[in-house]
Amino acid sequence: MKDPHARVVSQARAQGSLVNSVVEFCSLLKSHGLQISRSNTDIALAGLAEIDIVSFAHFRMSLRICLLQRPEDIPAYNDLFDSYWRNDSDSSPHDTQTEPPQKPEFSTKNNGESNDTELSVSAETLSTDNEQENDSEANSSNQSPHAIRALARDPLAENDPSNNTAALDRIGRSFARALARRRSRRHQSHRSGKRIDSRKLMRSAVRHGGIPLELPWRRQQIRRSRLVIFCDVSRSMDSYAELLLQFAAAVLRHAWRVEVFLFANDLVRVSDRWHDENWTSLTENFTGLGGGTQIGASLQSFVDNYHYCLNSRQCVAIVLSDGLDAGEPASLKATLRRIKAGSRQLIWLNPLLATPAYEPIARGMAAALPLVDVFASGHNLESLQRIASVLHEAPSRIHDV
Amino acid sequence: MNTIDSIEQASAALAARGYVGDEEIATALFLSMRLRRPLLVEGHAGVGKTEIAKVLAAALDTELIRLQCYEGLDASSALYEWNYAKQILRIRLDEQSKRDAKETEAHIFDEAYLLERPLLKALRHPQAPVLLIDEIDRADEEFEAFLLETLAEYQVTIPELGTITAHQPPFVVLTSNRVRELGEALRRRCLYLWIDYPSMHKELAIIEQRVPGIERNLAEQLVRFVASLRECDLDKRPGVAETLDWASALVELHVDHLDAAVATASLGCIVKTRRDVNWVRAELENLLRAT
Repeated sequence: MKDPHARVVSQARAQGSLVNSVVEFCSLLKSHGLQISRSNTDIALAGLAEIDIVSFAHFRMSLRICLLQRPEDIPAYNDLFDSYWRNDSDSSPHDTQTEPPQKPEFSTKNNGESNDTELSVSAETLSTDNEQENDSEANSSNQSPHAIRALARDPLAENDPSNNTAALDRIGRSFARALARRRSRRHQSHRSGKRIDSRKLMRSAVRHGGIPLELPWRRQQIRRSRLVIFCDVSRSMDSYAELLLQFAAAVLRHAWRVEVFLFANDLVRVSDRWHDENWTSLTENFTGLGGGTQIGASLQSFVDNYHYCLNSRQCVAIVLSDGLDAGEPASLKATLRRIKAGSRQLIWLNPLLATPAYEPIARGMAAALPLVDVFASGHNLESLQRIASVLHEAPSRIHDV
Repeated sequence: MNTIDSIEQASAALAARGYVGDEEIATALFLSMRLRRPLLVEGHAGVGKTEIAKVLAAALDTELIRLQCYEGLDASSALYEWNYAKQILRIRLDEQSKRDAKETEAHIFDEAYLLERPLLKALRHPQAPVLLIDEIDRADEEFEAFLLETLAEYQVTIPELGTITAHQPPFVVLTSNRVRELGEALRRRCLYLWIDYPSMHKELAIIEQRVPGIERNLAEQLVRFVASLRECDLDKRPGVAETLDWASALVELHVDHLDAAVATASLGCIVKTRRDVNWVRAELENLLRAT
């Protein structure tokens, strides 16, 4: 059976349009969220010149080796490759098979392409869940967040966050200072230290006829830790959302290397969006998705897409959530274990802890509790300040605040 | 020195040296050599990433130069360093013999006092060597930036000796365990190869290749056991290296059939943490039933 691919390719080559087709294919991959850059396209074209492109297997593998940079992209690449290059009639990229997956409303409000790609990757795995849940909760999802907050009737949510900007700012700064406390193993020259900088020693010794008159030192650099904040913005957390988001924004302002993720039944990275968007609009769009909180699934999508944020030597992970999880506790536990493996401390702030009668018996919370290093409430400024001081004192000690 | 001129030759070269690979690995090696681009090999621990570089060096009949990365690795440990102790001694001796200071200075920054580290060795090698940069994800971002600079031009400037350019650029293979995500710039520079755990057929072929004298039935049992083990939630999933260790161990013990007693006794070959050992012991019946 004649390979349709060979026909397509030799046709394209004859028409001199193979290069165009490859470039078009690369843009297609990019629009589906794969990480492809311009230089990779050049490399891919150079690679094709070296191999026998009529062989389907070689063609496919060669493009994959030159273009891809992450293993997560491999399944998507295979599907897109098949639909693009195996098309008999014409190699048009506008097939129904290759339409971008449905994105939630959230992404249409943003302009940058990079925002879309982040969401489309995380949303497609959960879109089927959303469809089922949206049907049953279509009525309730139309309520505005303000109305829901009024219904909460939580006496602890009485602080008015708008007056606390200065206090939160201070807390953010103390967090930043607490995180900047680790020494790395890389030595750099310094005016005082424990090791002698031999190179500089030699230079100065030669100047003085071989006698080291000055001793230059080396010491280990201070490495600032990275902070990853996961903020639950589902409806159950609505009364605390303002305070916690402002807290996250304050930390973001003062500390370097902070990543902030919002989740409800989907996960979104908002670390670079604080400056150009009003944060209240972020949560409004998010809660429109409806359904129960999927903590496990959201964190799993973090592990799948952003796990590079976690570097065990340098990272502190903070989860701001009430632990009411609609998903499986076992999967939440497994995901948390993975996150904990990639960070030196896992902190869980649960505002419900401040209510006197609360016990963490909800399945999700109970499953997560043994893995958490610091479990605290974080429902108001004082408790947040206490967390900051805990970070200052002993980053690796396990206790309850 | 040999060359590899086609994908088929690459496949043949891999097979000839006992590396059970697939078309993709051969294609990646071929492209990396022809395009003169470094090859970034990522995968889980123990799937044979480092082996690829060794086999490539053997196939090309050239030297393998290995740079093992760790956190805090810097240019002086990777590129070159002066032998300071020797230099100071020289200075003192010259001072005793009343030599001119300028002459001393010219003398001590000489080849004899230069400690050549792997990167410089690779650049100065007369024949293009295979440069294996192992576990690049354990090094930090500063080292990545330094490496990128060196790999871009294949030349290095030593202030006292001048600029040293590679006669023949080395074939660079980088391996990573995905402990940390590598920088964008380094990724863009390299070709990418992801090596996943092998399929059962492939793993069987690898065992038969590397552990001659093993019974076919036993090998099949091992492969099925390990395959089902990899599906489970372990702290450390066993790689191909662990399977091979286990196979060799069982051959040494003159075992021809896998049962509960043998498995429990030799569990240390494939599971490496206490939690995993306890879990596997508890699930042993189910796992053995699957074989």
